[in-house]
Amino acid sequence: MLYLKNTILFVLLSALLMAPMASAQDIVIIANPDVSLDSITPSDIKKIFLGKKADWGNGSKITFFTAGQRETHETLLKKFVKKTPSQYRIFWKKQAFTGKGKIPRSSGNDQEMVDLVISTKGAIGYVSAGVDLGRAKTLSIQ
Amino acid sequence: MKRALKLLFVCLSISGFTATGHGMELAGVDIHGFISQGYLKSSDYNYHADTADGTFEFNEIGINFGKDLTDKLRIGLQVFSRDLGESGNNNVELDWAYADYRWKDWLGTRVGKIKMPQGLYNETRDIDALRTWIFLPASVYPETLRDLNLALIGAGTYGAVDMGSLGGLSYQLMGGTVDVEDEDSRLAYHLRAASQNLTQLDSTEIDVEWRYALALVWDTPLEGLRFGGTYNEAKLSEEADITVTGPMGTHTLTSITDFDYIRNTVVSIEYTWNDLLLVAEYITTTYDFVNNNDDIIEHTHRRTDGWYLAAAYRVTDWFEIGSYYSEQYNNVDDRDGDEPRDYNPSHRAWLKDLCLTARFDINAYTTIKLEGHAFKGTDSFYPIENLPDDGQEWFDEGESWNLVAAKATFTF
Repeated sequence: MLYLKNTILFVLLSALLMAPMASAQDIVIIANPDVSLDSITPSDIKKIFLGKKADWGNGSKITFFTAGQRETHETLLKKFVKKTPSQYRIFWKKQAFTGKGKIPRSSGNDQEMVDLVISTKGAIGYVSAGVDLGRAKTLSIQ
Repeated sequence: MKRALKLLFVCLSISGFTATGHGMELAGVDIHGFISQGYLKSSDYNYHADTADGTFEFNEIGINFGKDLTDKLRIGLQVFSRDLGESGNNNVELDWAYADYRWKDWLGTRVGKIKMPQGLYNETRDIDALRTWIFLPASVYPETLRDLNLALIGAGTYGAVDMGSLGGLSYQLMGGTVDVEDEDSRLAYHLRAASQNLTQLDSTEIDVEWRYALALVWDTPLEGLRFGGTYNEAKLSEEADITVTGPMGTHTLTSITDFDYIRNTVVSIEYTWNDLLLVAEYITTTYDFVNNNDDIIEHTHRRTDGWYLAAAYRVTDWFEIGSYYSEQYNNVDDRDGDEPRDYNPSHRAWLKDLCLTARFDINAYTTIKLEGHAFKGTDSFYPIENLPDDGQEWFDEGESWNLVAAKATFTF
C-alpha cells in the first residue's frame, strides 16, 4: 500500500514538474544576429508582440513576425501574449483600422520564419523546437 | 465619389482575395478595408432609421492606407462612408488622417484628424468586425452626439508606461476642433429632430470652438484585468433658423445657441479570461447652453448618465455569443420622467436595453451576426421619426418594444 501511494505521488509530482518543461521546449524565440540581447523576459515578449515595445533600447527598431502555423502561434499566444488567436487577430485589426499600427507579417512555416528573421535587421520571431535556425540566434527566457 | 470608392474597394478586395484577411501591401503602402451591410426591424417605434417597416439603410464601408516613412514616423488615412436612416446617407468622409511620430514607447505624437477615445470602444465603433455586438450600448456610445465624439482635428500625445509590478499605464491626450457639417451632420439633425413640439429648426452654422480629450488605461498586474477612464469637453455654438407658428402666424427667427460646455466622463472595467470577456462602463454627460430666444429655448443645464454590463464568450473558433444590459437617463434629476413638462410620456426619460448576440466567423475575413434587443423606454428617440397617427398621442405604443438586427461584414 505504501509502495502504491509513493508511486502515485511520484507520478503526480513528475507530471507537475514535467508539464511546464515540456511546454518550454515547444517553441524557441529567435532573433536576428544583430540583436545584442541573449535573453528576454516574458513581459518584453508580450509587449513586443502587442506593439508596445518597438525599440531594442539602443535606438534600433524591433520588427516581429508571427507564425502562420497554428500550433506554434497558439503556443506563443498562450504562454506569453495571454490572448486567444481570435483576440490577437482583433487586437491588430483595431490597430490597423485606427491607424495606430499595421498587422504583423506572418510566416508560412518555420523555415520561412527563420529566413525572415535572418534577413531583417532587428527582427524577432518564434519557431517550433528543433528547427534548424541557421544564423538566427536563440533568445533564452529570463 | 461614392461609386469610385465602391469600385476601388471591389477591385482591391478581388485582387487581395487570396490573402488571409490581413490586408494588402502595394509599393510599401499597407491597405485594409471593410464593408458591412445590415438589416433592422423593430416591433414598434423607429430607432435611428425606418425600422418599424424593416430597413436595409444600415451599412458601413471604409478603406485605409498607411506607410512607415521611417522607423519612428508613420502616416495614414481612412476614407469612410456609412448609412443609418437619415444619418450618413453614404456620403464619403475622411475618417482619420494623421502623422504619427513615436519617439519612445512612452511618448509619441499624432497630428491631423485623430480618432477620439471615449470609453474603451469609441475609436472602433464604426467597424463591426472588431466587437461581438452589432450595436454598442447606446448608454455610453450614443448616435446622437456622434459627430462631436468621433474624431478631432488637432494634435495629441500618447504612450505606454511600464510600471513594473503595478502593471502598465497607457495614455492619450489630444486637443483641437471638430469639423461638423452644418446642415447634413448628425448633430444638426439631432438638434432639428429632437423637439417634440416640432418647432422647425434648420442649422445654418455649427462652430466647435475647441475640443479636447484625455484617456488613461491601466493594465493591472492581474492578467486580463484593465481599468479605463476618459474625459472630453467641447465648446461650441450653433446658428439656426427657427420657424415658429403662433397666433400671429408663421415667422422665422434666427437662433444662436451657445454651448458653454459639453463634458463626457466614462469609467470602464474590462476582464478577459481565456475566451470570456466581461465589461462594465459608466458615463455621465453634463452640458450647459443658452439661446438668444430664451422665451422659446430656455437656458439649460443638465446632467445625463448611463451604464452597461456586458459578457461575451467564444464557444468555438467560428462561434461567439454575447449579451449586455444597458440603462440611460436623460436627466439624472428626473430618472422616472415624472416631470410632465419635460417628458410626455414618462418613458421618454429613459431607455433600458437587454441585448443578445450570436456572431459567426465564417473565415478570417467574413463575419455574420444576429442580434435581438428587448427595450424599455424611448429616451433619445426622435419625434420627427415617430410622428403619431391622427388622434394618437406621442409615443403611445407603450414602453416595451423589440428590435432584431442582422449584419454581414467583410474585412481585409
